[in-house]
Amino acid sequence: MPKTIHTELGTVTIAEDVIATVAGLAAMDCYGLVGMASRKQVKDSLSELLGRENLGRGVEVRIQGEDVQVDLYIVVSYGTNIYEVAQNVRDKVRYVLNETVGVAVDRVNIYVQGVRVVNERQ
Amino acid sequence: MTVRVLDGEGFVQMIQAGHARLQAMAEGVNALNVFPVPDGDTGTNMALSLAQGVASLQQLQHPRLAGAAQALADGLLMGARGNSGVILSQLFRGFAKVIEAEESLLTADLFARALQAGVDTAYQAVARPVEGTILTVARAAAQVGVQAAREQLPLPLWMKKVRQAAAAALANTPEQLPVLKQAGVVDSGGQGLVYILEGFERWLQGMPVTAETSSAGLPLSRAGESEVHTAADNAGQNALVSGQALGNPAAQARVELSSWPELGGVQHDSPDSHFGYCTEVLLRLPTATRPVAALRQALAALGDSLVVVESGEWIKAHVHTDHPGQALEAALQYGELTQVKVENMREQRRRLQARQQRAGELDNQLGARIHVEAAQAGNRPGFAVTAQGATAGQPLAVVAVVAGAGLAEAFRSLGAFLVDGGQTMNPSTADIAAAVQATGSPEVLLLPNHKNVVAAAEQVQQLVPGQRVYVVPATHVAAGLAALTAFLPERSAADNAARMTAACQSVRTGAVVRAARDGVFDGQTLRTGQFMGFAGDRLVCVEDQRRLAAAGVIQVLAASAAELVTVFYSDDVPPAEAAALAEVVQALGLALEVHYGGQPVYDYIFSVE
Repeated sequence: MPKTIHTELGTVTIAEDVIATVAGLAAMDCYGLVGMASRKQVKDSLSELLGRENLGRGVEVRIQGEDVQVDLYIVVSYGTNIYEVAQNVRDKVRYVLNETVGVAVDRVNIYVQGVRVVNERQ
Repeated sequence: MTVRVLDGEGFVQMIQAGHARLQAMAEGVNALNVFPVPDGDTGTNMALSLAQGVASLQQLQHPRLAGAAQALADGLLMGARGNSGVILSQLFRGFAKVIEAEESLLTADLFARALQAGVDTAYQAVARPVEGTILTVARAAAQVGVQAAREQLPLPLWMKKVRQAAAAALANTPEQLPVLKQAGVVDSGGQGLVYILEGFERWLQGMPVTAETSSAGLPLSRAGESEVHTAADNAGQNALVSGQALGNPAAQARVELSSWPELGGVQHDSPDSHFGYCTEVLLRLPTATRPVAALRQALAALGDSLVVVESGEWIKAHVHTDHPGQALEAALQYGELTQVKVENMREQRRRLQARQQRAGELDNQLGARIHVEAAQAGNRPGFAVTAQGATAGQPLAVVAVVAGAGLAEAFRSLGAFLVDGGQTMNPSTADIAAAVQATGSPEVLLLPNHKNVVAAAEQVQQLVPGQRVYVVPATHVAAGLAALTAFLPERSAADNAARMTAACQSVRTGAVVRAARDGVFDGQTLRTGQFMGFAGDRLVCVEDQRRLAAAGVIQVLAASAAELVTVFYSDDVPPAEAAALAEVVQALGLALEVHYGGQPVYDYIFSVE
């Protein structure tokens, strides 16, 4: 169900995909996050096959009436403070959605699905 | 004494110096915080992260270099707070790896390679590195560090080069990250790193670490051309101009928090608030609890002017109460207190009253001369004497948007209805429409008095179908006042609109503002606390002393045909200083009027006719 914002002059409807894409982009800017974990293998591999980047990858948006929840499935870098990175991602996503889409997110759930060990000495 | 190498003890002390320097400057760093989330906590976060690193260093008995570097990295990892804290932990993680492998004393060469490894590690821990941040600053520092290490410099000189490279990269961050440029600031995390390096450098040179002034010029924010115009509008005021009325750096940082409602906008001098203390707390919530409603209820029982806002794991609460202790205890039940501010509002009110009294006395002293001059300058009504208010239900009324007690009084005495322009906030269309309706007049002339208000003012007509609204395009409060003096209630609205438009175009306006932070405008370099003189929207002078800036503006404004200079001064200006401008004005052969304006942000507002 898309998010609708009612104003005196009309209604603004924002599709879940839009929120997912914005949230995904916002999360990718966060330090310590090295990627998103795919939740929809079929859709994502199809996107890859088509040579498109699925920006909403690893993001699920659930909207019920006024209540907006965002789930993020992330991969973090080994050796970072994972709790703090998750907090930073959550703050950033909330802030960006509120600023750019005007959506006040009720909950941002972070699922750390993977940790990537980058080789320390090239 | 020239330090060539560092052992474990030396390394620990150098890190402590870096931390001390950062901690001393944390408020300044907070004030720069606009990216990634403008919550004004970067400096605090970085200092707290590094504090954990320092704490784990202090637990070492006889620190060897490798062990110390590892302990620092571990402490930073555990204590990392905020984005910049996490990045800092990564920089020192890579740093420790190199030092651990070498097991020797810290030379410039080893330092450089460790710094580079730290940057490499830090860049690997992010999917999409954003340039124009602490990462960029660290990379530039490491790059220069590696080059400079080949010159076999002693450590202090090497560190100086590294710090300079970091500062140069920092100064360039607004060019890389548009959000910084818009706000006219450099990156906050990068600034934090530069302070840490400065601490290192000072310790290596044997200089005091936490002294307020920087040894070499601090990086200036490179505000571009576009900021010159916004300097005079409200967005610019928030970012660039010191909210002296807001006082402390924390309050300044608060202005940056565009995601928070402006708590500072609550009127502290409102006569009806009988509570003694303005109490503000910043709470960090333990988990995903959402106690806003409960907290609001608890605080509401203690006082008024209550504001409670939530953002992620933070809650900021503001209340006026007679029992700040109880308010803090109430807040403490829901999370950790991160920042606490308690101000005695009765004391503030007493100071304000004393100031207004002084201003009033001065007005009386000047009064005689001013009115003689006013009479000579033409048939301009002396609004200092007429104190009649506006009466509702007239056939034609004037509504003006005004900020500042003195200016408000001036407009009111000339018969205008007022809309509070607020400290940093422009009134909404609805606010203005409400004032228009309150006049009860079929025809209303509107003075927006600020270019940011003009658009809202033009929308007002749609909200008041029963009334006819004329917007007089006064974009400056001094122009609005000139327009108001041309108002003749017995003439028609259309005739008055034309007269007033002509009147506000016939005055030239200017202002003096204190710079809130370093920057470059119009090719002129500014330092914090300097005074900028504006003629219209154009920056005409930058001075260390307010009265010199004021004199500079007057001279520019009076360059072409002029008769009368009107000056409005703010609460920050001693009335005697304002009165002393008479010398400047008389030297130019002009008449002067000096009034207490009480306006926020601008120290002086001028109009020249």
